[in-house]
Parts: sequence; structure tokens; C-alpha cells
Amino acid sequence: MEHWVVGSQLARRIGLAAAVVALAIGPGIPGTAADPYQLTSVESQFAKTHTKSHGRKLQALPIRIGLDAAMTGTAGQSGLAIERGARLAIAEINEAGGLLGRELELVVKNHRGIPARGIDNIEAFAGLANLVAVIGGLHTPVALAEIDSIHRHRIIYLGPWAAGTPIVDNGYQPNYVFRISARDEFVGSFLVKKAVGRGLRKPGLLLWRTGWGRSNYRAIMDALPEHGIHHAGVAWFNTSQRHMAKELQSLLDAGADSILLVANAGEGLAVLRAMAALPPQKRVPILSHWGMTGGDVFSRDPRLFDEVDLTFLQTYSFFTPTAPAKSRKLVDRYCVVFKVCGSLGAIVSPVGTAHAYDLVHILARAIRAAGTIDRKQVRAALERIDRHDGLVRTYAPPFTPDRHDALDKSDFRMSRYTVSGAIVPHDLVETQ
Amino acid sequence: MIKQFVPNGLLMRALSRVLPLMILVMLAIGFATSSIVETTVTRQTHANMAEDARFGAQAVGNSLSGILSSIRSLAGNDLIINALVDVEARDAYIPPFFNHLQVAGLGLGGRIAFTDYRGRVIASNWNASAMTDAPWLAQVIDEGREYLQFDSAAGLFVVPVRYQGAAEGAIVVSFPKAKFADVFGLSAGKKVVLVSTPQVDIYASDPEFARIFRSGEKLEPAWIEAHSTVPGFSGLQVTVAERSEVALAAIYSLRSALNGAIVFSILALGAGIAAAALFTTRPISRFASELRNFGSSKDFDQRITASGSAEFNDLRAAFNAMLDRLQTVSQSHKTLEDAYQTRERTEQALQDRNAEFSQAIENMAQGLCVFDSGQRVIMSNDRFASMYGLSPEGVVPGTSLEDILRSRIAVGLYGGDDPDSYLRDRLEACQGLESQSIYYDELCDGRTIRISRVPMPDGSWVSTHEEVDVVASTEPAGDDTLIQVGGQLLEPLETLVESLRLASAGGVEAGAEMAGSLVGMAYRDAEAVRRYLDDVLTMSRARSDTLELARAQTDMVASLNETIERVQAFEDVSEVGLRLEETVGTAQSEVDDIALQRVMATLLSRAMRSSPPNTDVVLRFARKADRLRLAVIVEGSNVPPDLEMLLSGDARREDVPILDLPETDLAFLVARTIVEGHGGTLNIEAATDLGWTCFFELEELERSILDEIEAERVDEVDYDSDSDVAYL
Repeated sequence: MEHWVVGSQLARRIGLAAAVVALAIGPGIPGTAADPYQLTSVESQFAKTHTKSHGRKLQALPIRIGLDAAMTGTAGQSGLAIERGARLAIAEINEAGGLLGRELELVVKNHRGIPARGIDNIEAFAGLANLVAVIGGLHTPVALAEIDSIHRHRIIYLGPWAAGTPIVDNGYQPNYVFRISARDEFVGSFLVKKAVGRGLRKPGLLLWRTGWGRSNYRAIMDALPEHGIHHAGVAWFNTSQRHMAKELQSLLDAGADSILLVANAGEGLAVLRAMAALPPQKRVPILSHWGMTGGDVFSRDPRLFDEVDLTFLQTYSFFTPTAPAKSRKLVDRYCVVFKVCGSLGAIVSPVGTAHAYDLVHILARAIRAAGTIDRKQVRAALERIDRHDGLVRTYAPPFTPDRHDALDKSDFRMSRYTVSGAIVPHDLVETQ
Repeated sequence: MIKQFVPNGLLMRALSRVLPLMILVMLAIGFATSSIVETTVTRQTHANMAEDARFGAQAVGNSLSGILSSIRSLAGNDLIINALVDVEARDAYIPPFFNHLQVAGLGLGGRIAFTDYRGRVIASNWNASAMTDAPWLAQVIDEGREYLQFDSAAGLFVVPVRYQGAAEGAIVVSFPKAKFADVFGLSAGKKVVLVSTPQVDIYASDPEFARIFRSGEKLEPAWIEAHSTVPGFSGLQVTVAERSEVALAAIYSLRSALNGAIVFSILALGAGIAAAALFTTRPISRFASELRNFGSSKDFDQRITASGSAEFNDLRAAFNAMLDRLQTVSQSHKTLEDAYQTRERTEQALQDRNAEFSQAIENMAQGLCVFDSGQRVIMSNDRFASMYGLSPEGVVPGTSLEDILRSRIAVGLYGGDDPDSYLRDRLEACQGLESQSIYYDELCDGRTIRISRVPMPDGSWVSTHEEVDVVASTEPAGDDTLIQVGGQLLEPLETLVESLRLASAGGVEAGAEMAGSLVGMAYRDAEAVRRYLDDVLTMSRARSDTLELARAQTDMVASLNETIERVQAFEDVSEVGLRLEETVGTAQSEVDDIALQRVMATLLSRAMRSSPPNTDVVLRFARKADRLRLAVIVEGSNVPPDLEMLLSGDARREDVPILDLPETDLAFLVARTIVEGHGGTLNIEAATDLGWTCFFELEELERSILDEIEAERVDEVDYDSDSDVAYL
């Protein structure tokens, strides 16, 4: 078949094809030219240094942990945060001698927020030797799409961010999905409660038309009656939708006194702009899920956060750590490794880092407990860990056969951006 | 044998010589024109073809861009993008959306699929499973570029669906070959349109052209094609072609038209020549024919009547004018010829009469010898020769007076002592005679000869010689003889004079100027002789009372005009003019017209001779107390003495023999006699140095008499009594 490509050049195509091949067989390997999100030189140096520093000879083949997240795009910051948390934990583990005499290694794949890529990543990870688990990303839709592949290949899926209830409640038994993150089922109730607590009794629901939106829709809709309020209306927006004025206005016209927003960074920013575009007296508070914090929305338009009353869910804050010693240690490492120092607010998307950090350590405990990297046994071991004193909280136990969500409502707090863009608990801001 | 004239010879020459050349020239012009036009039209055709190709490429580009734009719009739709993410629920809203999806420009024939980044179909408006796992599509999407593919069976558009800047899916639109024309926005036309890449022909409205084009066979001259790259779609080319016979139909038509025009022109040229023959050559032929007819005419009285163009009319007029002059010359020559014939006849008559005259002269008792102004003998009689003892051969016309005198001396008739002195005296005596002279010559033999010499106006003179003893006995008989001889001589002489006058006065053209001059001289000589003889005869008849005047009703004005004409022909009028002043109008008189003309001619000739140069002699004709007065008026000179003497008192000189009378005196005496014969009186009035007037009066016929005469003449007219027109 003759192919004629508009504006293409054969050499370029060949080069790109090679890149595709490279991406298919080995993306995520540090130093691979095809890996667009390879570790920075600092991170690589950090990994090498801490690998050799303990002076013990490790087996040649490392135990691999995959990272399948959006490493680029508007939610790329979430992937970065997760990766940093995972790498900090892996570094600590490797510094402590590794697992089963073998070094841990993180293999990163970028699903860009696209489920198809996520699935393919899972498929690719499934073929990767010595892979124990795959850490997921921010995107519930991707995670939801990967469920079948995960279970088909019996890959332990560690959820550090995606909050979709069905991710964990996926119907698979044994369930290979474990999560340290918010659960939408709880988030919906939490957000409604917070709204009511602020005297907002007629929220409008502005939801992303994905499984995550629908997950929250169900949660919120279940929570509203519990708190004796009704929503003013529900509006859905699409991925990459840039203009939200219409949807926002429809909710306001319906009498919404607040907006319960379920959006990631790109679309969330569009909502903020739409709200900021309204006259101040017509603006209403936005109580948002945490998806927006997966991207660097603040630096894109800091003015918005002065004009819009935005609070959003967080499960962890380095400003109010539940385990201060661990937190300080981690922050120090964070500063050393990633050269981000001087301000807690400089740790981007902190929940991603914190959740990933705890997940890797819990996984390490499970591997040690299982004495093998066999994923089936490791999965079972995860359900059998009695306690883990983690960064986010003390998990006692982290997971059980019936509960694969390690966090609950007690871990939730509303947060907001400070004027410098740091994410801080809302009550802390109010206190200050 | 006279060669028969071919009326259309010019046409035949034109047809045989000019027409082939013209045909060759026209064919050459036609060939050159055809070549130029063919080159121009071919170039223009190629240019038009290139323009069509450019337009076609533009149309293809626009159409493809339009389709791409539609697909881009679809690919950029946030619902589509959302479907890339919303795996969970997209099957609820994407398939229905795609089921009836159409792309502008493709219609129902377009197949649309929505794939993920690996080319796996998410949704489509047809069963697109065949596209699943198409490696090439994954590669295309991974390139993140729009992709357009055509092969001989179908076409394909791939437009990536971008999410956060990366190609995460694609809208794939395919269409069957049957839709190519719609996709390319090409409408059916005469020209072949081929859309191709360097490797493959995508669409051809004419498969045969596509086959030839791809096979590399030579297209020319069967096809004329032009190529143009589709803007925005490098590598895609539009070829517009047309069969030569169609593309260059204009040339063929033009060539046919040109051939037709050449044939038409040749025919038109032939027709033109024929028309020229009809309207030009034929008039020329008629013209020439009439010229030939004219040439065969005797009197040049035919005129060219052929007509045609203005040029012919001018030519005809010029020829006719020439013919008029030619006719005049011819008539003049005829007149001259007649005059010469008349002269010949007259000369013959004169010879005859001269013989009679000579006989009469020979019978005269006197010796007669007429000398010219050069003192040479014009004529003589034998009596003259014998009277002086000379042989007749010694006195012939041309013999000089001196020779005659020497002969006399030689024969011993001179008895003096000084013959030379005698000879000189006699020659001098005859030199410049102005009036009659008579002297007596006594010969040595005892005879006494009375010699009378009468000078003529031109210097000649008439001498009569008679022995004095004879004079008395022959006097009476002399006048009778003169009358008899003069009458016999005068008639042919008058004929000669009239002929010469007509020839002299008639329009002899420049070519006959010499002849005219000679004729004029001859006329004047003859007229002088005639007048003298006429005067001699008239006076002789008057003395013998046998003069009869033939009086008849005469138109006086016409008669006077005729007289003036005669005098002008006779006299030298180079310095003195002659004109008629008449205040009478129509005047009739009963006179002898010829005699009266002699009177007037005598008076006018004498008046012109005595008039100073650059003056006019006026003949005034007027009524004076119921009479008609005819006056000859001379200004600036005195009345001649001889005239005054002759007209004063009774100066008839009856005792002087007629031949002894000077010519002038004789003429005036005759004039006086004639005027008195008409009941008039010849008068003269003069004022010193102011001029003089000689006049006489005649009775005018009364009006009543004239009316009667006219009535009688009218009665003789045969006219229709019922019609007054003829009379009027």
C-alpha cells in the first residue's frame, strides 16, 4: 500500500518510528533517550549514590516498581510528585539494603492521562521482568481503564492519587488494587459537609465527564441527603474544555450558592477563570476535589486565587504533618535530592509525594513479608501487614482483604493556595 | 486582317497572370497567418491548460483543505477528546454521534473513525474493525501530523486528536474511489483531470490518459497537458489534459476558416476581376471601342458616351474635349483643303480665264504690263513686248523692269546718249509710286508711247502703253474691253478671294499657322486685285450708264458686321482697331448689299490707313431723322487730302481714263457713285487734328412695309391651324 504522508519526511518518520519502538520496549529506563520524562541528572546521581553507599553487593537484577502516571501535560506535576515520593522511599529502602537482597528500581511510564496509554503501559509492565507493582497516577479514568489489565496480569496496582471509588471497588477478587488516597465515596460526603459547614446549602455540581466525575457525582448525590441539602444542579464538562462560563452560569442561574468541583488542573483552571470573570458579588465559593492540585495551576494565573474563593481537598500537608519527624526527614531528603528547599510550599502536589512514599514502604514491607517478588504473594502480604507508621498516617493495618483504601475521612482536610502558591490546610490559613 | 478585339483581354491576362500569383501570395499569407495563429493559439492553449491545472490544483487544495478543516474541527471537539479519557462511558454517547456523522465534502460516502493513539477504533460510522492495530496508523498518530493517503481504491485522511498538545487519537476518514471527484472538488468537464503523486495516480477522469501518463508514453501530440502542485499538499499534483484535437479545435476551426477564407478570397478575387471586367474593363472596352469607332469616323462627329466611374467620366470628358478640338482642326483642315481645292479650281479657272484674259489682253491695242512691288512682271501681253521690239519670251512673269528696260536699250529703242541714266531714271520713276502717273516716251524709231502707271495698294502697279496715235482711236473701245474683260476676270477672282478670306479668317490651328499666313497674304493680294478690277468695272459701267444696283431688303446690322469682318481680314489691324457702334437694333433697308459693302469697305480701309496707331475706327450706325446714317469715324488724324478733294464738289474726273485713275481715287469715285445710286450723299466732316467723319444716309424701310413683308413670309409657313404652338 502506498502511503503518502502530508508534510512528512521519511527519515523523520523512521526516527519517530524508532522512538515509538523504544517507547514500547523500554520507556522509563533512566537514561533512555526515548524517555521524555527521564530523571534529572540530580535524581540519577541520587539513585547511584544511594545505591552504592551502603557498601553491600546487590543482586544484578533489581526488583522493579512501575510508575504509570501522567508525567507530562497539565497533570504532569502529579506524576512528578508521585515519582519523587516513590524514589525517596526506594532510596531509603535501597539504602537499608534493598529487598530480598535486591535493589528496588522504579520504572516510569507516562500515560499522559490517556486510558489507552495506561492500558498499554500496564501491558508493557506486565512483560517487564522483576516487576512487583505499578504505582498509578492522578487520573481515575486511566486507572479504571487499567483494572482489567491489572488483574489479567495480576499486577499489584498501588494507587497514590486517583480517588475513584470503583478503582478499588473494582469487583475483582482477589483485588490487586491498593490505594493510599482519598476515596470519592468519602470525598463526596466530606465536600458536602464542608459546604454545609460554611452555610452553603445549595451547591452546584460541576463535574468532569469521566468516571471520576461520575464517581464523585454518586458520592455527592448520596451525601447531600445525609446533610439535608439539595444541589442546585449538575453540569458536566468535557476534557480539555476551555470555556466553562456556560456551565457555571447554568448552575448559578439554578441558584447555586457554591460549586462542588471535580476537575483536574486544566479544566479546573478554566472554571476558576470563568468564576473570576463574574462580578464579585455573583461569585460563589468553590469547594473542589483535589484534582486541580495535580498541576501547576497557581503559577499559571495567581490572580485567580485572590479573586476566587477556592478550597480543595487534601489528605496530607507538610505544614501540619501527622508524623513530624518523618516529615522533616523527608523534606530534608527532598531538598537534597530535588534541590527544592527553603519552603514546604515548594513541594509540589504534596499528597502525591506523601502517598507514594508510604505506598512504596508498605510494598517493601509486604515483599519482605512475602519473601518473594511474586505478585500474588506480595498482594496477599499487603493485606496482612498489621501496622505501618507512615508519613501520612499510621496504618493499622494499611489494608485488609476487605479494605484496600488505606485512608478515610479522618485524613481529609480542605486546603487552599497561599499567596505564594503553597498548598496549606484551610484551617491553618484561617488560624494564621 | 485586323485582329479581333477581345473585350475582356485584360481580365484574361489578370486571370492567367495575376490570379495565380495572388493565389500563391494568399496561400503564403494564409500559411504564415495559420502558423502564427497556430503558434499563438497553441501557446495560449498551453497557458490556458496551465491555468486550468493551477485552478484544478487550487480546487483540489481547497477541497482537501475544506475536508481537513471539517475533520480538524471534529478532532478538536472536546467531546471527542473527552472520549479519549472517558473510557467508562464513552460508548454511551460517542457511537450514536458517529453513526450519522458526515464530513463536509464527503457526503454519505465518507467513512469516519475515531481511534486512540494506537489506531484502535473507538467509534466509527461503519465497521472499522479492519483498521484495528494498523501499525502504520499508530505511527502516523505518533508523528502527530495530519496524514493523507490515496491509493487506487480509496483515500484516507488522518487528523490527530490532541490532548494537552499530544496526539492521543485520530479521526480517520476514508472514502472509496468513487468519491474521489467529490473529495477533490472536481466537476466533470471536457478536460481530463489527473490527480497523482509521483508514485501513483489517484484519480483520473480519463483512465486512458492515466494509463498513457503513467506508462511514460509520449503524450504529444495526442494530448496537451499541464501540471500544478496542489497548494498545501506537497507531492500532490494535478494534471489537466485534453486531447489535442479538442484542445486545438480552435486552431483547426481557424485553419478551416482560414482555408475557407483563402478560397473565398480567391473566389472573391476572381469575382472582383469579373466585376472589374463588368464594371471597369467593359467600360474600358466600350471606351476603347468607341475610340476605335471614332477613329473610323470621317468627321470626328462622334463622341464617347461610355460611362462608368467618375474617372471614366473625366476621361470621357477629356476625350470628348480633345475630339472637339480635333474636330475643329479637322474642319479647319477640311476648310483649308476646300480652300486649296477652291484655289486650285480657281487657279485653274484663273488659268482658263487668264488665257481668255491674256487673249483679251493680247487683243488690246495697248501694251499692258503689271509689275509687282519688286518691279517684276506679274503679267503682260504680247502687244507690250512687240511694242518695244521684245520677244515674248523676254517678258514673262518674273522678268524685272530693269531687264525689260535693258532689252529696250538693247533693241535700240533708246535713242539717248546715256542709257544708264535712262535706265536709272526709269527705275526710280517706278519706285514707290503713290499715284497714277502718265508720261510719254519717245522711242528712237519715232513712235511716242503714252505710259500710264496706276499704283496698287501693295506696291504693285499696272502700266499701260500705247502709241499716241492709237490712243484716240481706241479710247472708247478700251472701256468696253475693260468691262468685258473685267467682268470675265472678276467672277473667278471673287471666288478666289472669298475662299481665301474664309481660310484666312477660319479657325486654322497653330499647326496650320504658316498656311494661314500664306493664305492671308494670298487673300489680301487677290482682294486688292479684285477690288481694283471691281472698281474699274463698276466705274466703267457707271460711265457707260450700264451700272445697275441690285437693291433688296437688307439687314443693315448683319451687313455691316460682315463688312467689318472682311475689312479686318483684309487690313492689318494690329495697330488700329475697328468696331461697330449701332444704336438702331434691327434696321432694314433696300440696298444693293454687295455694293454697299464695297462702299463701306473702301471707306473703312481708307480710314484705318489714315488712323494713328492704337486708335479705333468706328463705324457708327444710327437713325437720323427717319434715315439710317452710316458714319466712319476716325479720331486723331486729319482727313486725307485726296478724299477731301474727291468728295468736295464735282470731282468726278470724267475726262480721266479709268485705268489712269489712281486706285484710291477710283475706289472713292466708285463709292460715291454707289452711295449716290442709293439716293444718298457721301459727306465728310473734319476737325483739324481731331479727326474726321465720312457719312451717308439711306432710306429705312418703313415698319409697315416690313410688317407686310413679314406677314407674307408667315403665310408661307405650313403649320397646323389648330396649333398655335408651332407658330409661336
